[in-house]
Amino acid sequence: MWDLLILDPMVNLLLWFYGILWDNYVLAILLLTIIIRLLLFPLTWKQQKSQVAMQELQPRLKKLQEKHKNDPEQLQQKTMELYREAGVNPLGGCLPTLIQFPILIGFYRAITRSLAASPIQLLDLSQHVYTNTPTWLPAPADLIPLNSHFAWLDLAKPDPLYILPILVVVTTWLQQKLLTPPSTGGAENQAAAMSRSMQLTMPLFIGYISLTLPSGLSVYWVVSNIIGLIQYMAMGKSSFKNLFGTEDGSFSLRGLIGLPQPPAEEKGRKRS
Amino acid sequence: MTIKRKYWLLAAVLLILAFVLSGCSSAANMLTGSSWPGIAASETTIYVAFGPHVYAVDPDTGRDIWRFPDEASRNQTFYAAPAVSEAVIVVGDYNDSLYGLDPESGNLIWTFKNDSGARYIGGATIDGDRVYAGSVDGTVIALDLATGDPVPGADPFTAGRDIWSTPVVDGDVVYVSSLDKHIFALDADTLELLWQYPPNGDPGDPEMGAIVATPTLYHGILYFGSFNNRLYALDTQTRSVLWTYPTDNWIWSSPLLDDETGFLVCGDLDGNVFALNPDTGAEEWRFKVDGPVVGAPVLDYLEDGTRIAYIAAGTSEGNNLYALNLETGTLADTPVTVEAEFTTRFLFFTTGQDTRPIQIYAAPLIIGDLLLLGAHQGNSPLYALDKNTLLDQWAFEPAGS
Repeated sequence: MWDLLILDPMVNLLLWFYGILWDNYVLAILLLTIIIRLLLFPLTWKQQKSQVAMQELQPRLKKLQEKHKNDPEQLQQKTMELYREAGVNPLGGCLPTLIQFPILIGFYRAITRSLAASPIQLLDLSQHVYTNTPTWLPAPADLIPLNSHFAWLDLAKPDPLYILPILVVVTTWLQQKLLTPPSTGGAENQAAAMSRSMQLTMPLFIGYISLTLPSGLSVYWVVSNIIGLIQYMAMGKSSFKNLFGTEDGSFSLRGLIGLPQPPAEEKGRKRS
Repeated sequence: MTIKRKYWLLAAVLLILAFVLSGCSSAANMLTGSSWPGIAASETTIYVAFGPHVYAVDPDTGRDIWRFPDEASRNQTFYAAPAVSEAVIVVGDYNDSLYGLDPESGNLIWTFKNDSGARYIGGATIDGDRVYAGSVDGTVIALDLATGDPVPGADPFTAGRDIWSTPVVDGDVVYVSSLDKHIFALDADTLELLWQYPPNGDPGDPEMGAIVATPTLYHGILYFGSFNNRLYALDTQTRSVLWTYPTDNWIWSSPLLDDETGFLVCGDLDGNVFALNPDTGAEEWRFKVDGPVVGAPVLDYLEDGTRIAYIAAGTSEGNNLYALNLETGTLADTPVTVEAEFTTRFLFFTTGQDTRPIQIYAAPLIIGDLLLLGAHQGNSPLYALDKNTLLDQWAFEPAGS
């Protein structure tokens, strides 16, 4: 079922795009990435919408936390009421992310399968290419073996110069940063600390993974992140406020690296 | 759900994804999973290249006589079938080197390391005092058998893509097939290109597919299959195609030519086995096996003189070894007993530990009364059957594995 619904279509689309796009595997990955992002657009839109709604609820949630800090049960009840009232599903941001994972894993498998650098991989590929293709599409057998080289990269192997993993880290971090609102007030609450920690560790973690995976997948990751950024900005949700962590969107190194802004009075004192 | 819980959930999911992807990556890089054993034999010894070692195996006991290298290295694996001569065994590794080994002791005689870091998937060929080998960067080299030094005046030839096959030497000409969809004829002394098929440009064969298998040369005709679902007969004198035979899927296997029946036998990845008239390409018979045919069919005969072809079908679910009557293309009436896990005439091979069928991609090999099967999966890379009874004789299990 996995092969039939996800993997085989991806493999054959990659092969066809490769044939149509002048035997260029990077272009094939780019095109398939764009198509996948378009298909996932309703999900990502919902995810981002949910994220924004959650951001807007933060001040009210914070008030609730302060009000019921000694009564966790009451806090939970009131929190859920607030979600209901605002029409927000707290899982609305996570579920679309979860649904995207099979696509990501399928893409990874499709890249390694279609590049088929070893006899076992090529045999495996032979069992998954569509044999009855329309005449106006390139026949997979004519395309195999694919040319996996692009610039300094062998797309079937990790990037030897570490350029793509660095780009993966930067674009993932940038996307997370733009999506996450700055922590309000000077208080160092636990959620904000967690958020900052995630902003740094997740990109590094994904970057570390991309060190070991075929660089073709890193291409997908980078392109997907860039499209996500463009999509987010096009929706008008992105702002320098999130990036620099300041209320007015002004540059702040502290905010850029995720540290909380000092309270307004402190700022005022420093200025005076 | 609080922000904290949400992030923990996201972190957990990403962690799982990371493990999944890393696991996939590790699996992809597990070299023992990249190919199947390369098997060759002299009259007295079997040589198996698989995983981290090349083994010399005693055909009587199924135990290893020596292994090379002594200590396994995580970064070195072998799949290419060793080339055997009395003086030197030549085998390439999955990194970048060819090794000349002493057949008796397995001691290293010489090493040739290529500059490009290209793997050796196809076997080398020994012809007189020379060794010819092709690597995955498309380079063909000629080495001195005794020293491993490049033959003076023989500059490496480079094809457009990988070479996974074994060079075929015919007098002064070396024939090489490549995944770049060409057969090359090279001067055996200089490795200069004499000609190629398809020729460059018009009237080339725009429909030619990648060629993985080693061509079969018989009376000046090269027989080879391609990924364009065709089997070719190419006249090396006129450099023209005599005929092509269409198949249902890619052809990976080298053809077998039986000069007694005069049939050319081959199979495709759909499991179609067919016998053709080598002069005309006309189909004599056709038989369907359970899995893709990857290894070349092997010729043998039964005690009553019936000529048969052993066909390995690389399936993990059904029957995986067939003995076909070469005359009729039907299952041969082999003298099997029911003690082993056979159906009547084909083998549902047991791994010894369990009854899961093993995948056999390597071509079967016959040495004396033994029928040898190289397994891609299972507990052993090599199984030996008595070819007269098809009973399990031994399974080679490398010490320390």
